[in-house]
Amino acid sequence: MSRPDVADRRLLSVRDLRLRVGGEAHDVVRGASLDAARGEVVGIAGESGSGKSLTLRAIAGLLPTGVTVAGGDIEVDRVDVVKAGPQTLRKLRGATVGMVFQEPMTALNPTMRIGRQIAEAALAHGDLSRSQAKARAIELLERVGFPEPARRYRQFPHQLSGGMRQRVVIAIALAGNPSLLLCDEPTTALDATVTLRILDLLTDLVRDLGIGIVFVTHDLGVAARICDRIAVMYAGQVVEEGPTAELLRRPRHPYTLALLRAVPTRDRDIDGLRAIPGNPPQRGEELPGCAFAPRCEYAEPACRSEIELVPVDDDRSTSCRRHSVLAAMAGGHHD
Amino acid sequence: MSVSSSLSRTRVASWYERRSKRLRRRSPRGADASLAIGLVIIGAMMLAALFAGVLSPADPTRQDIPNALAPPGTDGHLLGTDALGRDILSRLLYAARTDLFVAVGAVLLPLVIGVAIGTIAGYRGGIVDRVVTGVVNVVFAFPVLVLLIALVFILGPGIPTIIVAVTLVSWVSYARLARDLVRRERSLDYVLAARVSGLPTWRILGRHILRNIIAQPVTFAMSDAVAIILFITALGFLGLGVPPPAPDWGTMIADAQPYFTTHWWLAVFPGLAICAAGLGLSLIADGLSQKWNAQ
Amino acid sequence: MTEPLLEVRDLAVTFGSGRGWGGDRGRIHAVRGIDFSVRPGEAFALVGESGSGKSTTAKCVAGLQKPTRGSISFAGSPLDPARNREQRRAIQMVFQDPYSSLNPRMTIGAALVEILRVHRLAGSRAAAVKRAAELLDLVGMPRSALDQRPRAFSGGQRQRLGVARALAVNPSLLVADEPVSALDVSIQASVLLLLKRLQRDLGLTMLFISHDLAVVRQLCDRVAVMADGRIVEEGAVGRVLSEPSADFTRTLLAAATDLPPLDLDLDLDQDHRSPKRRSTR
Repeated sequence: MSRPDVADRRLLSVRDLRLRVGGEAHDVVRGASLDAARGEVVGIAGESGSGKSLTLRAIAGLLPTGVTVAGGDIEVDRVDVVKAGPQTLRKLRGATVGMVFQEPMTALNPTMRIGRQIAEAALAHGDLSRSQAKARAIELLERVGFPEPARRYRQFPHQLSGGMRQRVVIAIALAGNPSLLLCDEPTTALDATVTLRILDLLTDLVRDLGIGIVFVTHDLGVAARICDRIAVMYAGQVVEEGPTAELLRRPRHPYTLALLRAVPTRDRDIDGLRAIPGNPPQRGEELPGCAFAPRCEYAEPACRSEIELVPVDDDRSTSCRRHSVLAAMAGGHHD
Repeated sequence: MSVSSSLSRTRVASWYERRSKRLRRRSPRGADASLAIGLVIIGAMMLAALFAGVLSPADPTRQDIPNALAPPGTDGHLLGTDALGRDILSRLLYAARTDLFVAVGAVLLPLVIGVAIGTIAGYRGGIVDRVVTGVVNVVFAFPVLVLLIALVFILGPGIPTIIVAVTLVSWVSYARLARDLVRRERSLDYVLAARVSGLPTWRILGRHILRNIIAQPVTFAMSDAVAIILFITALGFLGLGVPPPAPDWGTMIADAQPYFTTHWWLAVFPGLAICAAGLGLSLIADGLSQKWNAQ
Repeated sequence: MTEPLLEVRDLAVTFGSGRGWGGDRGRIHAVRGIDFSVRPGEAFALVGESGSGKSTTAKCVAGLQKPTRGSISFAGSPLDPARNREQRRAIQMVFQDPYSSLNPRMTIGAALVEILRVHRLAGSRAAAVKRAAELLDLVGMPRSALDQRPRAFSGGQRQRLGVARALAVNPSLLVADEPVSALDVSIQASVLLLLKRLQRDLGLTMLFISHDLAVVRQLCDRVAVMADGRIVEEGAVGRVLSEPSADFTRTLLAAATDLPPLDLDLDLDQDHRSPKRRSTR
């Protein structure tokens, strides 16, 4: 999984992360591995309950009460997040890691001017005077696409549209000059046209500031648009990881394939749509081996025993034992 | 099409059976315990009140001046006697009748009236809602004691007067609570769905909305009952309560006032009875709200 | 051309009184005078972003919102605000959020039986229960669901139950307000396929509300694109998607996030010994 070409730009490394909800017998995240480097957007795609958001929160050291790390390592910019104390974590958040949430309205304080919320974040992470913090906030507002930033500084969240609010949340996340931005479904609450503009903004930030982004989404279309690489999660496991175009065009895991065939697209009519039979497993259900096996048309008995994410090709990995079947299907077109 | 759907149907069915077994509802253990203890306490008090005639060792109103202020454990007077030599245990038992009856009446009436008015106001909205909200605000500002004194003057002191007075004042709490809950509920999709289904309004209100919001008013009523018992106690203290010689806990404590420092049992036993009733009702309220919230 | 089943003329909905300090600024014009008609057996889509007025329009058609102006006629006769039972029966609705659209305290069976009994569609309780069970068959749910409450079901299953409830009274028009947008991707497909099957098998006419052109493409024949309370473009789905005439439609199409086409030969046999049959696609 570790890629030599990005070793020097490496920002984040998650290895075999296991998360457990207190009192439950089985882990909710069961061996997730992930890398991110400066200058790239890494997507975690999955449905609700796949563990994608918990994984993201674990990276920020922001797990909800009752959820604990049961195993594995998380390293952000050479800091061990799992072992870090509250002091280290607090420094990490903001200064190294910024976070963007799904609901811009609840992520902002409704009674505080947006400029002050950004300035406050800048003050918390830098050695700035009040006027410097204000200048920084105005600069950030401009950076995230506010025309007339000095005037907008004094506005309240309710005076802004959903898209503009999300820009404010991004500005707050950037206030401490982080090198890694963690985005948790940042466009899910937004309209398609607004989503597009936010994605453009994030792409610009990666290019101009050289930051890395981990982008959690349930929407493969959004992931296709912004991510350089995608890790697909299902029931707490990363089932497949690879460069976006490769992964979406020639998936190497039956779940990715099934998901792609279940997405309605404009160029395919309903007869090309395939529902995935059955339902995702419940949280805390015991799942020996591949979690997707019970719903998988390619499954064989061995799929119910241990599985691991193994490298295939140069730059990809999959947890499917039968990935060669999918590889052969792709081969049909090229050989 | 049909292949994939029939496939998904069989898988859904087997998955569903596994899942429904696992998820069969268990209510939180703490809620069951609270509810059980509360019900035992209140049940025991109700039984004691009901069988006061059998359980009482003496007539609660019979005076026996020579044996006045006998301490607990005196022959024939397990909990002692009061200043007029009346048996405290017997008085406690008969007082339970009065106090529990008043509490139930003074809670049920406002609950029913308030919830009904609040539900209609919340569902109808518009002018009906504005009128009800206006009246509620006026009554909220009205001093209960002044109203009660006026009523005592008109109706004369007694249990009905207390119930009427409490009802007149406290229905507004239930009306406001129910109105807010119904307003929130009526915009939920399942209520819209019931309307689109063409169900008659009374049915939507009764079978759909009321069933989903009633938990809170009922829980509130349980804790309100505690407040009402304390209120009757306070009335007894002010001499506006249950008229003598019928015993009630509040009046018993009020009568014991001169003896607080010298003869503790006169005030302590009715005080304990009030505490027990309050504790029982609170536990029931707590248990019910936990149980309902879990659903 | 066949007589339209649903005809909406100059429909407008305004929220807020406009009185008080704000003057006309206090008013929100959700729908600003729109016209469209839906022919029997057709699936007609209203597409737009949030605030475009599409859901308000759906609510007007379903009788949940009083229009400020305009008329809605159904099967040739006008629908007045106080609809009669027959008119209410004929137009049913499927809601967006499967978690709030079923009464949490009623079993699925009780809810279905209630509707059947109120509309006198079943002579006896037993007949109503039998019909309820058939409705569950129709939407691909197990009959054991009759004794369960909504919390026992996942989002996709609840949406199927919502469809069963809507179909209980044999409606001629089904209003579907974003029926799959709250569902997970893998579940969306199964609900869309269910709606398509019902459309084909029952000849159901559908008014479909969505923000997602790809979803509309799967289910609908014609589409009206709404923006800011107005219809900016209307036409056959294929035509609107391939040759949009309104600027807004073009913006919407450009913003749609599409997936690259799959580069897999799905007709290859599972254990890739031999191709089963060559793809015709």
